[in-house]
Amino acid sequence: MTNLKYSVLPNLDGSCELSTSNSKVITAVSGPLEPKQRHRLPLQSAIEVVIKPSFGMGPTPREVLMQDKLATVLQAVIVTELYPRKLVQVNAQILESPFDEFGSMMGNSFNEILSPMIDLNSCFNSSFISLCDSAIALKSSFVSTLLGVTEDKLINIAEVSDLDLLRSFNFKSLHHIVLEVEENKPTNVLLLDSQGDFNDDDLVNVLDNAQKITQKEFQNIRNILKDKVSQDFIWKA
Amino acid sequence: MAKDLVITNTERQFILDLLANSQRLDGRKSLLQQRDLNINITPNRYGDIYLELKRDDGSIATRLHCKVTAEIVKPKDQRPFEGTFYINCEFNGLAGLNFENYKVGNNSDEFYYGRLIESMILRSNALDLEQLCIVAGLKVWNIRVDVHVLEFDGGFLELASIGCMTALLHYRRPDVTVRNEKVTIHSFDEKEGVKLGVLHIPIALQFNLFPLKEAAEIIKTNTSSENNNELVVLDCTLKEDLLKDGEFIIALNKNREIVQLNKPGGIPISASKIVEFSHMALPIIEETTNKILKAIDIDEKKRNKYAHLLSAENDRYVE
Amino acid sequence: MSEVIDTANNINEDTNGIALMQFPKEVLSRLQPDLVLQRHLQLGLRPSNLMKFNEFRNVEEQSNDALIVNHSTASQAQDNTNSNTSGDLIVANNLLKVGNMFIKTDLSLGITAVETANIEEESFAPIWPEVTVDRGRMGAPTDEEMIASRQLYENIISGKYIKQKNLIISKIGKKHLESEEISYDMADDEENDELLLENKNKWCFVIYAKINVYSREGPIYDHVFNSLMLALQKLTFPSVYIEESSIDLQISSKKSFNKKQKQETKRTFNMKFDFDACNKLNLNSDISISSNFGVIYKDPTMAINVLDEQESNEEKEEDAMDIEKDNTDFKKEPILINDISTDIEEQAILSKVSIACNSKNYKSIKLMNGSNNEKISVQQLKQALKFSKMRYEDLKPTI
Repeated sequence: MTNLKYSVLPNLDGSCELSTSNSKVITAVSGPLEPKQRHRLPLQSAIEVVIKPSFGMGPTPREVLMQDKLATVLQAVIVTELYPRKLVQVNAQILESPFDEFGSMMGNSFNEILSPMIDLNSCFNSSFISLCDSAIALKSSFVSTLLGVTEDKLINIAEVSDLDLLRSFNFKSLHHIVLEVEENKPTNVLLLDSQGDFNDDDLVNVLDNAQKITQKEFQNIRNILKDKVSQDFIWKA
Repeated sequence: MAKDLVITNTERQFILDLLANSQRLDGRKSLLQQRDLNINITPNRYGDIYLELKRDDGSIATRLHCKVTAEIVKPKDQRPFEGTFYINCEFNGLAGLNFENYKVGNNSDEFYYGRLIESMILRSNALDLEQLCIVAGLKVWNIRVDVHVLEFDGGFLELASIGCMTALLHYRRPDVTVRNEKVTIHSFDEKEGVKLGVLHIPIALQFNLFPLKEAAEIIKTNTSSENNNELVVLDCTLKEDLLKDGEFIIALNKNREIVQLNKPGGIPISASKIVEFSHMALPIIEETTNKILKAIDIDEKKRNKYAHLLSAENDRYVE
Repeated sequence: MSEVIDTANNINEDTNGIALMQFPKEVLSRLQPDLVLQRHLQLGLRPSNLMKFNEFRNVEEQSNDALIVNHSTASQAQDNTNSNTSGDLIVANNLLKVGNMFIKTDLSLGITAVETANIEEESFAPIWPEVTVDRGRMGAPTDEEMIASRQLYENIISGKYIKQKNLIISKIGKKHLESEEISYDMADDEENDELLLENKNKWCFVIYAKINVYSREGPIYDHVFNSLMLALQKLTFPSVYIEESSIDLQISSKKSFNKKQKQETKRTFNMKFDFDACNKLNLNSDISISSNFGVIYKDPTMAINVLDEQESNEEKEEDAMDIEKDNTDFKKEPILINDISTDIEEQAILSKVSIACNSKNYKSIKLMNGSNNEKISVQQLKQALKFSKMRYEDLKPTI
């Protein structure tokens, strides 16, 4: 089950610590900041995403690819026109990944792909809360879902708590989907990252299920945000 | 540490005046009072520790995450029987805006403190490296501790050293069987993990020195009165840390042994102070060590809920 | 050309005092890529070579077999190092010309020790790629290069192209001292059984890919992937043999591990590649072809109205009034662009999708909507998926 705490880092504008059944990340958003010269865009804000791996020095190419995906989607969601010549900085630190333990990568070659996807999926959801917390203007909400397709089942990976089971699934394909949520309804696909073997039917099935999960997850997030807003604006009542 | 952080002259004077009156900016009433330490061990994981320093009002001042990971590597040519150990600590944007993300600084403070803790553990043999050997000259365990700073208001060295030691004490690596040079690594389901050989628990403590008078005055009056030229402060906040004028680092273990001493520059202190500092540090180290052991003990009991049921040992009654 | 530059420097003072500047096309396309693209779109064309929206660039595979494998260069691999010494030996290559862009892929092999017992049937091998975009500059790899390399690595595993099992060296030959012959059959060679048995199934190939991109035009990933796929198809594995003369047993004189002494009590021998007996790599899955698409909305407000220029100022003002009425005409219209092919397009089109597929299945989709106003809808994704299948069929003859 997704568990999240917002405003965990009082020194920064917005932050969130999010844990799913098998991973845990902490993200923070700072902005709008005065950027370095090379980040200064005349008509919009630059977005910098830094993701640190759960162990070892980073960001390695694995994290650079993750950063690229997150930054591109944030580009579409943040109202960048509102902060020209400024920088919005998103920092993420992976705290727990199901593949931290020695030897957990071995055996199933899909784990090599699954591992960054799990990390990124959590980063997406956590950075959304962080963005809300930081009061950066957003055009819409988004919810990220990670689905795995096996021979006969569709698995919502964020809910698998048994790590050994997670590592041994025989996935045909993996799909990371970020859906935009407008008016409480999932609408556009912001990111679709699918890998493995799949056909049109699989894709339709995955998108359908992602919509259902998004709907449910967003309700959950919405309630949390509602609480947060009523807490933050307690002086207004 | 946070180089971009600028403290105004008035604030600087205020903090120093407070210190001179044995008051601290965060409400502590004594220069030697440390903030509350909290050790949280993540259940279901080995060697995954969160540490918090709490202010008097309950808010979190500094928060660290320490994580131990292991891998099998080829040992160094000069030391074929020994495993390797490495501490990786980096500050990043999470700790505050004044920490830069891509600064790979070999001369940054966190790098310096990281090396200090590493040598504290390695050179004092706190971690038994020979126990990490699988096949001499070919395969050994490489143990790495990652220190992630999640919130920062001073106290890095103490907290990191406590975190590293707790994580090392708590961590279990997979068991290994070697038969005819064939190495089998057992998962935790197959065989219970093996604890690392932690032989003693050194913990670092930093005494921060503040000049009581101007530096020129100290030298002048040095002959007349030997002591009390400086203020000694424990567990500095970030702002205090930036204003200090010298530090004295001592690493001790519970057996009252000095493991490491370091006095890198700053205002001079009289030689007799070293003994004084050591005596001051002892009860603090002892208390911290007990805290670590207690935290691990509690976690152990939680994990081993049914141990007493499975035990074949007879109950002993003491008359 | 010089005339154009002159006009650029010539700043015309407008009556209102606002300076009007003119730029040559090349400069404008750098300053305002979106404007240049929009103006082309109005004409129903694209900036590069006046391509149609749904047109792909021409892809040619240049034959350059002459560059492949220098048979005399034998490589060595020592048993106690995860050796990369054979990294220089190119066993398959591909040179792809996409529009004006060249992509050169060189595959090389290494040998590493494996625990064969741990390899499952459904375990797939990676390729270790290194993508370099040549731009006349040295230094650390750029983000683009890192992303392309990592993406190749992930997609090769998830595409299940190479079974780890197929990379295991099951037979090791031995070169006899006198006859200079290489024998792979163990039955013939009873006395050496021990040596060959010991090395049977102990080693496995590692595939490295060095990919260079010259005169980059637009996003590189898909073309790099295609080039790698084509090279992979040609990949053959040489047989591996041990040269008898090179078997070397080093035993350290002292038994203790002394600090400065090198302690190689293990047997080292040279493994060499025999290119006269090559085996083709059996791909587990058909290779796939990757293509990219982008979506941009035609923005009529950015168009140059050719008629306006001949009309008088008063009429223009009237037109301005009309705009509100004709609002329906000015609706932004989405356009699906196939094969993003210039820097202009790359910068102006923020929503992109890259699809890899073969005749049976899709292998990977990476859709990223980088703009809130110009998103790829599910409808356009379907269209792109259809195009990508067509593209696969188109490029198959070259395969």
